[in-house]
Amino acid sequence: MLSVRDLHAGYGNKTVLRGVSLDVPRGAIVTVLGANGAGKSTLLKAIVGLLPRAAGTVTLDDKPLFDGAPDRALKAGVALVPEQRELFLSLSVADNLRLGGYLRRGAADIAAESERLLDIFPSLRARLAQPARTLSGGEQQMLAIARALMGRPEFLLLDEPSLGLAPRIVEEIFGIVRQISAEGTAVLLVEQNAAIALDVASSGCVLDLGEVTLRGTAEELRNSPIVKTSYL
Amino acid sequence: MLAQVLVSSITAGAVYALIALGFVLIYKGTGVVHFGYGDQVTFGAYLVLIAQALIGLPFWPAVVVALVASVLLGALIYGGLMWPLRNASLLAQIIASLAMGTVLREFVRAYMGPSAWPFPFLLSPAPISVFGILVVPANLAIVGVSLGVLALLFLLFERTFHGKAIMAACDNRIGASLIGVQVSMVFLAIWILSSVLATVAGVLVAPLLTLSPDMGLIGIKGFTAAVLGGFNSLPGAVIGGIVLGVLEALAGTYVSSALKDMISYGILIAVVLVRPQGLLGVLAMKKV
Ligand SMILES: Nc1ncnc2c1ncn2[C@@H]1O[C@H](COP(=O)(O)OP(=O)(O)O)[C@@H](O)[C@H]1O
Ligand SMILES: [Mg+2]
Repeated sequence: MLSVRDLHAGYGNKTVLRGVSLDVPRGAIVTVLGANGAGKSTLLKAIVGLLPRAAGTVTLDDKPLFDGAPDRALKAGVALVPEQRELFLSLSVADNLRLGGYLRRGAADIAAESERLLDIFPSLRARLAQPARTLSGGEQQMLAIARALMGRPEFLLLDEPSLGLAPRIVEEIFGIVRQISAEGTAVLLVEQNAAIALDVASSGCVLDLGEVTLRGTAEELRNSPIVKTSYL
Repeated sequence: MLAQVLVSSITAGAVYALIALGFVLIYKGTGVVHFGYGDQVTFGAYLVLIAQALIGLPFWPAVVVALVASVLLGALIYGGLMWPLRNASLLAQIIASLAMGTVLREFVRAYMGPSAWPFPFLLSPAPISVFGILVVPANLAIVGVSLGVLALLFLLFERTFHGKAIMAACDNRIGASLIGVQVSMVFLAIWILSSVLATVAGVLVAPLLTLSPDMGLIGIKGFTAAVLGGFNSLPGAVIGGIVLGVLEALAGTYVSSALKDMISYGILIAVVLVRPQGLLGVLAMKKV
């Protein structure tokens, strides 16, 4: 289980997260809903250590996930697909994918892993030799997810995978999110699109101005008046 | 005549290409335009002389010592200057790199004197005739070493995970750290690599020019070559270097050898005015 306890973080002297706690059980899909600026991206960045934490802890099976560089979170099995995707735009799609396995570079199954992911993301296969900057928005999102999966994470943090994409692509990506979770990877899914997030998630919470204001199962959230009026 | 000029010009072009590669590598990786780089080229050549004079080594072992010393120099530049300045403004970093080059230049001026030193050629400088074209073995050695270094860099960046990780960090630092690359290690590698490149270029070019503290002006040629190549492309830097070497030789032969340098700086101005993206480049796409 990935556990966040009383997490505080921000930028400079601006505090964004004010004591956030949440749990992601192994294999589950947990969603964090919230309006623009609520601190959702900040939360994910602070979990992997891309952003220093001011206070609070993040643990993985009761072992602390150290603050600092994301490579330590990755080694522990936690990968982030950030809102901006942060692909290597001038490198080929194949290189982007391969680089996702950077920490496992000695492993014999790197090529097999990227083949497996290309089966999950077939639209990338035709584009392997192209620079990543030539991909459409949906393809870039898929490449970003595939790159993160190359590291075989046990916990995948997804920051608004639906952002700016056509409904058909969003459907496809969420189908893949379900598949990933069925194969055993837990997903912490940040979304503004509450309807689709609650569709795939088993539980979740609502983040408002850096605080969790509501939490429950997906069913409870879907029926909550707050979620209904503000987020659906 | 033309063939002769072209053959000779490749020599200078190969050295410009190496220096341009150093500029581009540092720029792509760290955003710094290293205006002290030319002085580092000079310093690299002086390292060989210092190893010869100080330790009494023969030439080739002294070159090896100079290469090892430039690895340390690169690590020192990063650890002592660029890492502490990592959160400073880009301008502060560029000023620091310029100041560092000046320190190196004035160090050799004080320690080795202001006048020129003879520097041995790698091979014989006596021309031999091949199919009616005079080729100089020493120049062939320069071209050969440059091509060898370029091939090694190509293998590093295209064929190894570590090289790809450097390219990745140059392209997107956040993305690189998200796949587990320690970006500070990449910066260290870039400073070491470019310092070694500078020393190789210095050793190659010192016998052609005269080795004096002011040889670092050659850095501007490498800079021009890098600009010609678009400043953010490694193949562009190589092509820019060769093109600059050829243009310079043509200008020197057919216009005026006194005007040769002026023409290459004219090219710099022309490129910036007419084709800022370089010969084969697309303008760097800024991320929004
Ligand atoms: N790099 C940054 N520097 C300063 N403030 C930031 C930065 N990124 C985000 N913020 C601020 O932090 C708050 C939370 O942002 P964010 O976590 O991106 O929200 P969300 O992802 O929920 O839309 C916002 O007020 C935003 O303006
Ligand atoms: Mg966000």
